[in-house]
Amino acid sequence: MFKEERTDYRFKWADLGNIEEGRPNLGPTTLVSVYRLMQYTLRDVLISKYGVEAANGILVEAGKLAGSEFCLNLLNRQLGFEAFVAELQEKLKSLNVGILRVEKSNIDKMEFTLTVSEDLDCSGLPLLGETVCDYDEGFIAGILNTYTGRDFDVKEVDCWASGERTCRFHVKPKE
Amino acid sequence: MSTLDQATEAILSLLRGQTPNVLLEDDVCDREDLARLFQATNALIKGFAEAQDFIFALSQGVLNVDPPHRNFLVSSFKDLHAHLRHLTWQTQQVARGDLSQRVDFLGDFSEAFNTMIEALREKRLIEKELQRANEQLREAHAQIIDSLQYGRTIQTAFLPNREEMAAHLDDFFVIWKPKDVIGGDIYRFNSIADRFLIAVIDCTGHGVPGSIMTMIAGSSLDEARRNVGLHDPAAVLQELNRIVKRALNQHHSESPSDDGLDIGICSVDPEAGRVVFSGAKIALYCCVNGEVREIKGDKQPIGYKRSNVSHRYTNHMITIDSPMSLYMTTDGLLHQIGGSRGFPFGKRRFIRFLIDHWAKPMGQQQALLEQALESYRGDEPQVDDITVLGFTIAGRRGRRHEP
Ligand SMILES: [Zn+2]
Repeated sequence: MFKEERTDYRFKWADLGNIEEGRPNLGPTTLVSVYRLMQYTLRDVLISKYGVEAANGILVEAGKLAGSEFCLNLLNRQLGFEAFVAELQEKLKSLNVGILRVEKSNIDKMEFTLTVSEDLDCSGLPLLGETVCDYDEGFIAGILNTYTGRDFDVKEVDCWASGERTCRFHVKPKE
Repeated sequence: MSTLDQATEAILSLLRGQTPNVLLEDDVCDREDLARLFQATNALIKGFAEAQDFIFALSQGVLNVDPPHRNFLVSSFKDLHAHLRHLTWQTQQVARGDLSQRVDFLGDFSEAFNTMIEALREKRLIEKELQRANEQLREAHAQIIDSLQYGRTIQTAFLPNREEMAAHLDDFFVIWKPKDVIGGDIYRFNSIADRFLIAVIDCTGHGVPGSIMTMIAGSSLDEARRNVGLHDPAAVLQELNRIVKRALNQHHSESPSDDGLDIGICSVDPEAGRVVFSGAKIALYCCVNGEVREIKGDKQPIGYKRSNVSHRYTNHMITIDSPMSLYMTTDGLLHQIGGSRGFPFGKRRFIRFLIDHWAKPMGQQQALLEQALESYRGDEPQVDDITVLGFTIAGRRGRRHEP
């Protein structure tokens, strides 16, 4: 199931396993540094094997798959847009992923400026002068795609790692 | 100025809050360490200038200015800027009616904002609740009105047939004006051969309870008349008293209800020119030759617990030699508030009216009396059900014949 060759994505929410049963003593949480250890070592290997652009593409794509599954399994897609955003915000907070805030929205054009503070991926990283939240970009696009049925362009314009205090994403439908 | 002095001067000027307008020329410097100092000072000047512009815009509430990238002098201001943008968006959402948002981790702002949203949500709930209650009320009201209207149809059908009355009376009018859609006043008319019985009844209450009482009163009167005949109205009243008390179980002292009625009743033999009147708290007004005679009813009302079943009502004989107008009215007319001082219409005013108009055709009298009542009432509401019945008996000598 995890190791078969494939050309299409086969991830299922159930693949996350029964954590309660599996970790009766250690429980369902871990440290952010452990999560980052995995992400940044993986990124390192991806870049060295496939180059920066391909590695970023892989991370965005993985984020998108995660966002889509997240939306299908944890969010109520029947809600109106405003209530949906409120629920997403609440979910990201309660799962300690980050503090999502909306700065601007144009519902008619479906264009948004979002910020994520205390981001799981990047907040507190050494200042690298570059945005690093490719996975988050994909994650947001995946959620919105699954909720609306449309494809979205999500671009991180500011990032903790680029020297800002909050990660800022511009979101608009793909042309 | 020496190069080091230039750098010092630039830094001092920054400390005074002034941005030096010239950058140091780091390329003219041949010492590498000095060149690095110049470069750093230049970067500081640039960063400071950006910071000042950004903070100034922020202080003016201009939020669409993007924060300077990779400028760490204003890190906290960038946070503030992002928060203000978010709060602005939140406020716009609230203005659009979106109460699903909340503000997290913005200190006092969060609490104030979330409390406001909560209050607005509650208000919206209460408004919805009110709206629903209002709709229910409107629906219930419409149902009540419908049912009252239908009740009126029934009550009207229960009143005597006007054509039948017209066939036996030379001339007559009836004012029947319940205070509400239906009421506690009725009038009755029954004829056997040449003789007829005409009655005005005022039951306890008005509206729905009054109208239910009229059904009991009307059918009880019919029963009483069947039991004792038309000739002796006093006997009819005594019988009616007994029947109503039994019908409402008011012959038992523990009965919860204590309702009854006032009534005036005339047994009329037009050919013989004779009227026998008997009343329970309702009078008969007889008008002849410009004079009005009031014949009071007995003070004993009908059907109440206190009404004595053995009370014998009084029969009053009236012989009619020349054309006479006779009237009976419920107290709704006499008690109607109005006039400049808010006094009741009163008996004196009624009698005065009769003296002035008794000889006119009954239809005209009705119009005049209604007009007099309306203009007396003015803006005051009608206080009770009103029934006034007037009729003419030509008498033994002057009987007019129908064409
Ligand atoms: Zn970031």
